[in-house]
Amino acid sequence: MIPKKNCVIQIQDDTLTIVGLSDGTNALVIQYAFATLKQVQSLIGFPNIVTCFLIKIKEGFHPDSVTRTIKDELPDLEVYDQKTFLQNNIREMETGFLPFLYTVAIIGMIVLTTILSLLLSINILEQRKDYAVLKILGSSKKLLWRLILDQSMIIIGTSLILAFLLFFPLTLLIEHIYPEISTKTSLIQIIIVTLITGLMGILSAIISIRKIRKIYPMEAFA
Amino acid sequence: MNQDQPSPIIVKLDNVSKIFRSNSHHTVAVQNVSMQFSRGELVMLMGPSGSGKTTLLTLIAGLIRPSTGSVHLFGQDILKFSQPELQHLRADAIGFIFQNFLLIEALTVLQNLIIVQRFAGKSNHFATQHSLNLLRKFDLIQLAQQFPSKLSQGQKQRVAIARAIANDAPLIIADEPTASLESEQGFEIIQILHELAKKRSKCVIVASHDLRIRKYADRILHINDGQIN
Repeated sequence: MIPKKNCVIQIQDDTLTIVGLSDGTNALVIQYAFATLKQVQSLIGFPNIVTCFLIKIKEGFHPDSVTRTIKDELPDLEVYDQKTFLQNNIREMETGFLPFLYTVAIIGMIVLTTILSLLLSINILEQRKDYAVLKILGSSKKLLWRLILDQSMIIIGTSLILAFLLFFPLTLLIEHIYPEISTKTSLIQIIIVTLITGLMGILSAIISIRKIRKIYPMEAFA
Repeated sequence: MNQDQPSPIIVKLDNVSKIFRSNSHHTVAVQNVSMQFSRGELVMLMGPSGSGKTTLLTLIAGLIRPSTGSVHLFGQDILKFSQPELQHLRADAIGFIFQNFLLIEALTVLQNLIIVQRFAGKSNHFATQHSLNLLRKFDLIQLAQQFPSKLSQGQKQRVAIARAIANDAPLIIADEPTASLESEQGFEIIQILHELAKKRSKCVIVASHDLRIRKYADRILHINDGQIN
């Protein structure tokens, strides 16, 4: 079910209505939902235990002064304003969930680099006679290496353009289907992905270039 | 390389042998060959398959190194050349014609001619203009933007010859240049090679079974089991 405002959801015997969707509170491994105290106590089944309260400040009051007041009154409680709460969430993501994603990303990079270097190597082997002829005709090693690098960069460039063309519509689609998932992307992230992908292309070309060394000019005469 | 004062002798082989060694046995491909090739002559190398014709051509071109003996091109011992020097020598001074033409399929006819001149250090502008002139001379200008796959066998070999002389190389090495061609096309290629030797003072070395070349050749060398008879 796609959660939307005014949707009615059934949890155990309670019927709850979604009155709004919070932003930045979905940390994938830790997800927050806010309900009234009575409803939460009823859902959890422990009427005297509450883990956290969401406090809405009335107009005219400043969050800092409210935070100070609560801390003064109840020194054993931890009080966070919205900004700190979100920062805590982000930190939780960075230390808990993102390392897992980074591991998956690194494995993906290794696999993609291997696939790309294999593609380039197969292409070199398919055209080994052409490379042998180029060697006979006096091509420098540098030029042959550049040919491979150019092929790799064309594949990488095309893939990146395709990826970016698909990325933005897909994130919009995901946000439409699952609005609780935040798909924010920064320019820095895009630049980093582009640079890393470029490095993968260079690395794949370097791996494949070894194949050219094993092509002998004599092969052209065969 | 001193090509400013042309010497009539382009290639000089002194007691050249080539032995290919593998783990279990060795094969003598060329044995004690001594000979010279000069400007303006068309030399035909004849011999059965596996007799050592191609090995001898690749030794002359510096593509492989002899096991013993020496190879002099333009008066210089190419065994003393580094790989980049050999690569430059091939780009600049040797034109190659192959049995199966071996044009670069991914390049157009014009680009096939330009690329060899770029290897020899010519500017793109010069290479393009010179290539267009060559294509006009060979009556191939209408095919300049075509890819080799669209050409007939005869057209491919004419492009290959244009490529071989694109750098005005004094030495042309042709390995079975007429073998993949029909009779008439083959005859045309032989005439072009003869003209290159006689009118443009090239040293043309042709390995071939084609007996029609006999009457155009200044010398016919028979090679058998790696030895010139």
